[in-house]
Amino acid sequence: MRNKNDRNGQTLGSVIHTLSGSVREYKKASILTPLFVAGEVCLECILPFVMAELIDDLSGNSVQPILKYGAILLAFAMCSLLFGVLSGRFAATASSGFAKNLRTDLFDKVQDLSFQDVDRFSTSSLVTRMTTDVTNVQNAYQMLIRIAVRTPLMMLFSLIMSFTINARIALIFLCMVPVLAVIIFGISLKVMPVFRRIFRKYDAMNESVEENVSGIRVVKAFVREDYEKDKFHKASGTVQKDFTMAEKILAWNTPAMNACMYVALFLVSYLGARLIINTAGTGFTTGGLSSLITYGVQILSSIMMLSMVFVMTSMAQESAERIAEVLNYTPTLTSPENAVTTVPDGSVDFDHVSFQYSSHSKRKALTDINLHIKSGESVGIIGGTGSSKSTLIQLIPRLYDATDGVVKVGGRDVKTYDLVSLRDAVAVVLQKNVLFSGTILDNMRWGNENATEEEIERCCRLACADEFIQQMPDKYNTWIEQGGTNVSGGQKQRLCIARALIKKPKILILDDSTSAVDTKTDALIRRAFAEEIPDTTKIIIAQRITSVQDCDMILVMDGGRIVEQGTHDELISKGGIYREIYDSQTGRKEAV
Amino acid sequence: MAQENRGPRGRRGPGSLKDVKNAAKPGTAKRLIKYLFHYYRPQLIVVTICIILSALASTVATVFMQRLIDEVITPGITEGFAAVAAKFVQILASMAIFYLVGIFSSFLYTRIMATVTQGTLKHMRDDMFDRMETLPIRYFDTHAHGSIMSTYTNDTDAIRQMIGQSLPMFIQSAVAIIAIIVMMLCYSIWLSLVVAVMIWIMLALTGRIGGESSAYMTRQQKSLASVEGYIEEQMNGARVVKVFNHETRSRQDFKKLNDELFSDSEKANSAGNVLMPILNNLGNIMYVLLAILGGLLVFSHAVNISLTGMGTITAGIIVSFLSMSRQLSQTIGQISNQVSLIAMGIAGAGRVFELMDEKPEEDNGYVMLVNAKKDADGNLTETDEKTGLWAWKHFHKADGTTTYVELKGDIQMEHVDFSYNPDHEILTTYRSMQSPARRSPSSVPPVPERRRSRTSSTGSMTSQTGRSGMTGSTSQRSKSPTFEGPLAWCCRT
Repeated sequence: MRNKNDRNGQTLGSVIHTLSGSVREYKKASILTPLFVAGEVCLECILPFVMAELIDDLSGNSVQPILKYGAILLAFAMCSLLFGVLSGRFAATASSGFAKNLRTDLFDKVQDLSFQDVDRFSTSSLVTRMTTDVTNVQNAYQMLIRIAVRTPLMMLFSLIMSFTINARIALIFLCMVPVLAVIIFGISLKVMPVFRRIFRKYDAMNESVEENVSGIRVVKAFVREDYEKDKFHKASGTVQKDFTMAEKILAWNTPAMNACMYVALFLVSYLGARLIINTAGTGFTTGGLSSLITYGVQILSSIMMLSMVFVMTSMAQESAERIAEVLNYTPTLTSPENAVTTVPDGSVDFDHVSFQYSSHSKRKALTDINLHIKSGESVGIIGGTGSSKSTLIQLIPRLYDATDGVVKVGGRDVKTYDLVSLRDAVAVVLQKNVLFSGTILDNMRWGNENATEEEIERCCRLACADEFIQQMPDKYNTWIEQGGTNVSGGQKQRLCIARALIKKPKILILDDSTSAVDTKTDALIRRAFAEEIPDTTKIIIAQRITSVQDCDMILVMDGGRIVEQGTHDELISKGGIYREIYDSQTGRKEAV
Repeated sequence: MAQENRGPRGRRGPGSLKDVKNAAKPGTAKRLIKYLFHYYRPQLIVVTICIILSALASTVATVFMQRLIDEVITPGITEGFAAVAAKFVQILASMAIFYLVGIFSSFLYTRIMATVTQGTLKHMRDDMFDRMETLPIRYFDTHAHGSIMSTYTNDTDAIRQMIGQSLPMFIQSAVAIIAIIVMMLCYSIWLSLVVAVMIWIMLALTGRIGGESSAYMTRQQKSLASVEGYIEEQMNGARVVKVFNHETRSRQDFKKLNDELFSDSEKANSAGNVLMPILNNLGNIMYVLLAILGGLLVFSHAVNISLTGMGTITAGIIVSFLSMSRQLSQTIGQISNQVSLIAMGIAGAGRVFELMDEKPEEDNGYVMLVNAKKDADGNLTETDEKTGLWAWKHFHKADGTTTYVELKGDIQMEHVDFSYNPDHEILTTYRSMQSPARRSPSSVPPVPERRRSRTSSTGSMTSQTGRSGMTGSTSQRSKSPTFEGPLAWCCRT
């Protein structure tokens, strides 16, 4: 697991300490549960003891003791029932509440994480932590406050009561307990690391299924079905072999338990019968024998239960560690104190800016970028894949922070602005366009909660989205599915551009946002920008020369540097990379 | 492409709300058993025998107790040890034999079941995967990926739980219960009546609480799916959330879903938690009632009716009965635990079989692509060598000849109609021609191949239109190697 090394700083104690901060208002329920469980166990253990008395009075001399003990026993049983129900209720509240708080705390923390932080954990890992891991911890917690309290107490009380009835025979149980405990715990300890290892392979197998599910088009296009099938058969075969081996180890549990139980019962029966006969029913009675057997079964079952609890909570330990890791994490990107809350204009400056994604990176993503963009200018950025165009623009709204140099917006270092204010002023249409489930209007209001329908429609017209929206049956109230699956790529892009426009930003950044839009619409959008929002600084990253041709300034990036800068005509006459791209895209050489 | 790291246990909630409806078709259980027997008939027969033996062994102590008390202890108290020694040894010996057989049986069946369970899962996974690879793309577009994945993970987990643990335990419990009931009837019908009434109450309560519990569990699964879906969406769109300062709204929306999940979870767990204490303590109450009634019967020297005849109630019978009733109520508790797990397992099996039954893509094509070489006259012959030359091999059934046409890359679409959805036609009588070997500036990877089944057309090739974004841009979306040659056209609004 990737994060294994990073969790070295956590001890079990610190993990528990961190997580217990999420119990809060459910402390009361968490304490009441074990109390009621203890009460229930007490009563349950006294039951056979009192029962012994009743059985011994079955000699048929009088009804009195039968009724007396019967009534007592009934009362005990009813109380025990009540305690049991209450403990169950409170346990549910405590564990569900704990889980609720954990999820809230995790969600809050994750919202504060910067992209660097999210990349460090990986998105899917964070999702798993908030869902699967929380559920594991919830179940373990419930088990801890119930069964982990019940079983040791049960075992203890049963042992005590057994000794009260007859110490010599009770010794048998005392001897059986360590034997069984050693066997079962030994098996559990041996098998757990095996299971952990196997689950990784299991995850890998499922990941390859997921690859096939989401990449089925590629599989079919390259006619790789047979290859994938073979690959999968091998993986599932390995999983089968490993799991079978592990389960075979676990399979020793049942016979071991049965053996110990049966041996104990056998010995008790033998010794007990002899004792009763030899003392003519005075040193030991039939009732005593009956109760001892009951206690014996209880003691040995408790050990079995305890080992199960042990295994389940151990599996939850890893989940607990993963959750605590996130909760204890300090995010790397925060608003400063005394932050500036207004962005004066849309000018952008890069002063000797360099950036690398992580301190372990071998090379820098951006090297010595120097840029001065005036407010209201339109800037085009063009370059091959991997030339760090997206990285450059992500430094402007502080999605990442520069490693060297200063990024300025409106003449001030971006780090001096309040994050919310900065991001309200800088609108980015990202490469990966994400719409959320909700109506089109809901999605548009992400730009501005209070936007009127007219404003929304205006922005959609600017982005050339209005035309297809009008063709939809529900128009602006059309429901967008999760991930935006019911709109095409080009439509999604235009909606995302509209959403950004609603913010009325000082700086508008389009990161390759018109790639799925046809050239005519692309031109329409750019014209709308020039006419309707002339004061907004526009930064356009594109692959097509036609998209950036008319910009006030064009940057050509390669390998994390700006290699060419100028207007379209300047760059064409230079005859460099820009010229090359232009030629290959238009298929002819323009006269210089 | 491979996304979620599923953590240590590999468990995720259901992929969509649709999966939560555990509507297993009737006959799923039977089919599952047939599936198991298909692969593991001899093992399963042995296992069943072993389970029965193991179950019987578990009832030995309680059953033999009566004989021990009435035939050995009680007479022994008055007559002394020597008088009952022989009987004593006989009873002990029988107990020992039963116990040994029980231990050995339980060892045998748990080991065999490890093999059977994992083997069955492997067969299921392989069958599912093989079938899945042949399914048309339409299947993947109309089924949420999370849902498909859930079949491979959650459903196989549920099946494993069911086959490996719940089913054997269920059978063992059932056998034990039958054995105990028979013994009870053999000992005393009066006491059996008490037991019957109590058991009836216990079962009624189990049904009610169990029903409540499963209703809440379904709701909990739904809430869990909603929360998980929301978290996934927010995480995957985290950049957008940040860029639009949407964090506060996010938190509020999340709180609503989280609170609902809490409420459902609390109720579901509560119902689940109280079941065992209730059954346990009802068992205790039954225990007490039996002792009281037994005592009264002994006291009144009432006639004891049983399947083995009439007589008087003895202390031995009562003690035995008490043990048996304890074991009975505990076993019933165990069964009620397993019932929900078995239901989940069957539901999972239903979904697995559904996937295995999906109709694969139709491939009735008979023209094949083969390696070819050209001889001096320009005639094409098939060869096994890896030449760079490919040809379409067309066997004409009419006259038994085979013709070879060189692969040059021309595509013709004649009168092609197409729709993703049968009600919503997209391509109508589309016709295009493209001359061979023309390379466009945007080399796009996909080769024309059967991606969608056409709704109606006549085509000049068996392959059909592929799908790609013809944007005229130089952007390369996928990193897969580019293919020189035929271009794919697509027309989509």
